[in-house]
Amino acid sequence: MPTLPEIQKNFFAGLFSRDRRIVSALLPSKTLTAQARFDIYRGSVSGLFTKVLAEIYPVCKRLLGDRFFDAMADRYIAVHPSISANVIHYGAQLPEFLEGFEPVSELPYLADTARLEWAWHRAFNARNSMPINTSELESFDENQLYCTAFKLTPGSSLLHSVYPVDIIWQQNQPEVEQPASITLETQDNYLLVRRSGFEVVIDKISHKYWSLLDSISSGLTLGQLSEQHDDMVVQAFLVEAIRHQWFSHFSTINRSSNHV
Amino acid sequence: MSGYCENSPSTSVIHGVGVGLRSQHYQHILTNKPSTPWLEALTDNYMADGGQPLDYLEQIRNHYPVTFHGVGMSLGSPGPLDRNYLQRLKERMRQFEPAWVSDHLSWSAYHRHNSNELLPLPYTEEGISHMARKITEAQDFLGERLLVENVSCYVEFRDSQMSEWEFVNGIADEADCHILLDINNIYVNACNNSTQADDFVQGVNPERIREIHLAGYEDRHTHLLDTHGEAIHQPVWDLYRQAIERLGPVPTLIEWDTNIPEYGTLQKQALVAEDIISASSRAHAHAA
Repeated sequence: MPTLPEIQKNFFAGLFSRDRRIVSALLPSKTLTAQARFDIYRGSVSGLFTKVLAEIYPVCKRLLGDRFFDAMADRYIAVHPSISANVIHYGAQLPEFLEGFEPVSELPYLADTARLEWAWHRAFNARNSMPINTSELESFDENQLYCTAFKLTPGSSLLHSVYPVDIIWQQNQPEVEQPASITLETQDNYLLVRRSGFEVVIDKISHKYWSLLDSISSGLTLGQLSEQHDDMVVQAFLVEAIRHQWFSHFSTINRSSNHV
Repeated sequence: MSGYCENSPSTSVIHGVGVGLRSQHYQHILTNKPSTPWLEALTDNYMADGGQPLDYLEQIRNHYPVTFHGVGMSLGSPGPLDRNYLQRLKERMRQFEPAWVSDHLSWSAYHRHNSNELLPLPYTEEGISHMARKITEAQDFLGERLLVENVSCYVEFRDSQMSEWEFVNGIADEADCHILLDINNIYVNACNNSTQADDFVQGVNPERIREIHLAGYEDRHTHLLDTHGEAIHQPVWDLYRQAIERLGPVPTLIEWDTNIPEYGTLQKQALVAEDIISASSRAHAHAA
C-alpha cells in the first residue's frame, strides 16, 4: 500500500506531466476507466489556469482568438506552474514567454501588449493610496526640496514599447466591436500605468518624463535629478506630476536618516 | 474545545438562507439592499493588497453579516501551511469580522507548486491524522475554529479504508473543527462513485455541522461535474430536505460560480431552501 506522501507525489506529477503512476492507485467507475477519471482533474486544472490567464490578458486573447489563446495557455501552463495559493499571482511570466513563443512571432507587439495587461492587473490589485499633501511640500525651503524623494503610486509601472500598445489595448476593449486599423510604425512609446482611486489609468508620457519617473522610482531625490537634468525641466515635471497625482508619498533624506 | 474563540460575536446573526457574494452582484446588492440574511465572500477574491473589490466588500459588510469561504489553505498538502496566505487571511478576518471562516477537506499544493485545485485524499486513518494536524495548526494560527467542507471527488483510491462521511467525521473530531456540509458534493460523489448519498447525510456527525452549501452540477453523461453553473437539481433538493429533517435549520448557502445569473434567480433558489426549512420546522413542531 503506497503511503500518503507517495500518493500525493504521484497525483501531482500526473497533473502536470506524462507520469501516470497514480492511475494504478485508483479505481474505475461504471462508466469511466481510472485514467479517464484522473483526467477530469487534469482538465479542471488546465481549465482553471486558462481562465485565469484569459481574465488577466483579455486583449491578448482577442488578438489571438479563443482557440489559439487556449493552445498557447496550455504550453505556458506546462512550463510555468503556479507557485502561489492565490491565482491572483499567476501569469506574470506570460510576456517573456510570448517573446520566445515561435507561433506568435508574426505578432511582434504581442509581448508588449501582455506587459501592459499585466501592469494593469498589478495596478488594479495594488495597495490603496492617497495623492500627496502638497501644502507641506509648499512650505519646504530650497534645501529641503533638494533632499526630497518621491514614491510613485503603489502598483505603478513604467513601460516602453516600439509598438503603439496603448492604442492596441484601447481598440481591443470589449466595447469596441470593430477595432480601427492600427499602423504599426515603430516609434518609441512611453507609458505610465497607475491607479487613480480605484481606476487604472494608462498615461502616455514623454521620454523625458518617463526617464525622470524612472529615476524617481529608483529613489533619486530632486537634488540628484537636478544634477542630471535642467532645473526648469525638473520643476515643470514636478508641477505636472503633482497635478496628475503620480506620487503617493514623499520623504526628505536628511543625510543618513530618512523621515517623512 | 478550549483555546479558540467560538468564532466571532456575529456568529449568531447567521441564520436562514444566504447567498454567495459574486462581483456581478455588487452594484445590485448595494443599490437594492435585498433581504438576503447573510452573504458569503470568497476569501481568495479579497487577498490583494488593495483595490475596488475590497472596497465593495467593506460597503456590503456595513449592511450584511458575512462569512468567509476560501480555496487556498490547502489543508491536506504534504508541505507546511502557507503562512503568508494565513497571515493575509487573518488580516482580512480582523478587517471584516466574518461570522466564521471555511475551507475544504482537500489539498492543492505540492511543495513549491500549486494546482489551485481541490484535490482529494484517500479515506484512511493516515489521511485523517494528516489533515487534522494541519487544520489544528491553521486554527491555532487564526485563533478560531474552522469549518471544513466535504469536496466533490472524481476518483476513488484503491486504498481507502472507510466511507467519505466516516473520513469527514474522523477529521472533525480529531481537529475539533466544524463541518460545512455540501449537499451537492455528496450527491455528485454518490453518483460518480456508486455510493449512497443518504448514508452520508445520516452518518455525518450533526454536532459538528454549522453550514450547508447548495449548488448545481453539470451532467457530463459519464459523470457529474460540480460546476456551480446551473440551478440546484431536484435530487439535491431531496437530499437537502433529508438533511434539514435530521439536522434542523442549519444556515444554508446558495452557491453559483459559472454562468452567473441575475441576483433574483439566486433569491428564488434561496426561497425554495427557506420553504424546506420552514416545512421541516412545522413538521417537528407538530410532531412535538
